[in-house]
Amino acid sequence: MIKSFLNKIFFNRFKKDNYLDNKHPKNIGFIMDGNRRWAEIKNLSLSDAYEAGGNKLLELLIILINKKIETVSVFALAMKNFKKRPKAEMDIIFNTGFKFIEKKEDFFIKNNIKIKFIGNISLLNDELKNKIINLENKTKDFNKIILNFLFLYSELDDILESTKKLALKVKNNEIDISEINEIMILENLRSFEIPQLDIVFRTGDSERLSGFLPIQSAHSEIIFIKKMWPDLNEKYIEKTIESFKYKRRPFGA
Amino acid sequence: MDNDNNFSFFYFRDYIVKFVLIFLMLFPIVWIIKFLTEKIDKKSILDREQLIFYPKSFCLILDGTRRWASINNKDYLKAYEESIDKIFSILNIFIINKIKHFTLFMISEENYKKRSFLENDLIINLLLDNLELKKKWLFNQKIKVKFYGNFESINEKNLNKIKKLTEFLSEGNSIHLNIFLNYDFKKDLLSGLKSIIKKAKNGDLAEDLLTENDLINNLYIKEIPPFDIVLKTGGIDKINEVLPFHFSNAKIIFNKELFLNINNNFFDQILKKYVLDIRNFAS
Repeated sequence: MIKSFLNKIFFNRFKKDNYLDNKHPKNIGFIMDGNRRWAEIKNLSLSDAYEAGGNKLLELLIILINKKIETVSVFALAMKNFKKRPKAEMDIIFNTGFKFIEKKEDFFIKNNIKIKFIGNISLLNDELKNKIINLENKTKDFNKIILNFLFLYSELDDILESTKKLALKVKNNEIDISEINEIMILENLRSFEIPQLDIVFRTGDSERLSGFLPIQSAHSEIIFIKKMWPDLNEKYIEKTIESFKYKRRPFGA
Repeated sequence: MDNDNNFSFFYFRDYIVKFVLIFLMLFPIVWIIKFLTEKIDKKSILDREQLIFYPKSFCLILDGTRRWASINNKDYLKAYEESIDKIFSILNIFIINKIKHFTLFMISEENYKKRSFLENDLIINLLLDNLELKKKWLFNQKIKVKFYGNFESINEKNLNKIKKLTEFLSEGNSIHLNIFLNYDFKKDLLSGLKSIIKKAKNGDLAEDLLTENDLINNLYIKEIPPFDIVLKTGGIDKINEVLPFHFSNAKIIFNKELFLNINNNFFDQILKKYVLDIRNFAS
């Protein structure tokens, strides 16, 4: 009886240790979908919706800082949408987005938030490019949390950029083809600085990743949320982060 | 004479009545036929429309077989054998539903590394033997089978089986069954990238004019179209595979059930639901 009791305790404990790695999430991703549909439902303008979306992000940032999250990567604008949507809509996104960020600059400074833009920024006009560079420079020494804006980002473009850089290095005889390895490919990605994500949230009732950081999110917990981005409940995010380390993670097919 | 005239008049009148009666009878029949054909036509248009939205490429990430074996107190190899049987029944559903590509992640790179050589070898052997047994059925159903993955560590016997099966089942055109065993996207990307860079170095390609298609066309997995649906079983909401171009617009379904507990009707439901779904690629 004693043997079986001890077996039960130790065996269960062994099993639990296998399942629970007590890992506190450090890197989170958000696919902020549903702003347009939210505007339609609420009968509001697109710029109102993007402003509401921006405010939601700020609310979340406070929670994430409190939860000791190190990096937050948000899908702000996909390259596909930039190419697909009318210019008038893009102008609204750019104007609202950058005005909002400028307006909330104090928030980022006060909360020690480092901002990075990841994507093909070269497609923007000089004015917007300068705004991005200024913002990145102003916040470059902050270290409470890193906020990565995936802006004009596409997963294919990301890998293509790495290929181009390596091809140029080979052409300039800086490296030999035989020297190229997997790490070199990753190092030359635009998204190289983004670590492996622990959790990826997607709002907007769509169960797709839409090309969001495929390499960094391959082993992430993926959570699809029906609510539109501005309606996202911060408490739900808080609870999910809290419960992450208690989740069973059995491996094996 | 009079009688004769009367007779012919009545005879003629009779014909008119008959003709009118037949016409009156035919009218509703024609109307019914017309109504039905219009309805059938509308239905076929709907079917055709639905066919456009119908998924062509389905990806299944198998998970939960070992857990199923442990819950049901069965040998894990037996569980794998049952999994393979189930895959064949799913293939039947997909043939009916005209799915063109069925991609199966049988052993992930992560699991392959974690398990012993012997265990991986046993599972692969089991899969290949089962395919060998059913290869005539696969051939008759015009199913093309292709294996993807890093086969460096697979024993020679199994490697030969893979080669023979691929060769025997290379002509199928009804459905492509793509089996992934220990596939590592980074390795595939590395070899694709090297061949692109080689072309760029030789002046066959300008490195600044490289396109996304150049990239995709140099991958080993280029023949597989992007997935429309990705189903991961086993209750763990993680994909565990890196296939950037294939996953990005796929509808991802995480199912809590272990693979062997999933009812085959579920696959039918997924396909039907997919057609009704409004595809929203926005991010």
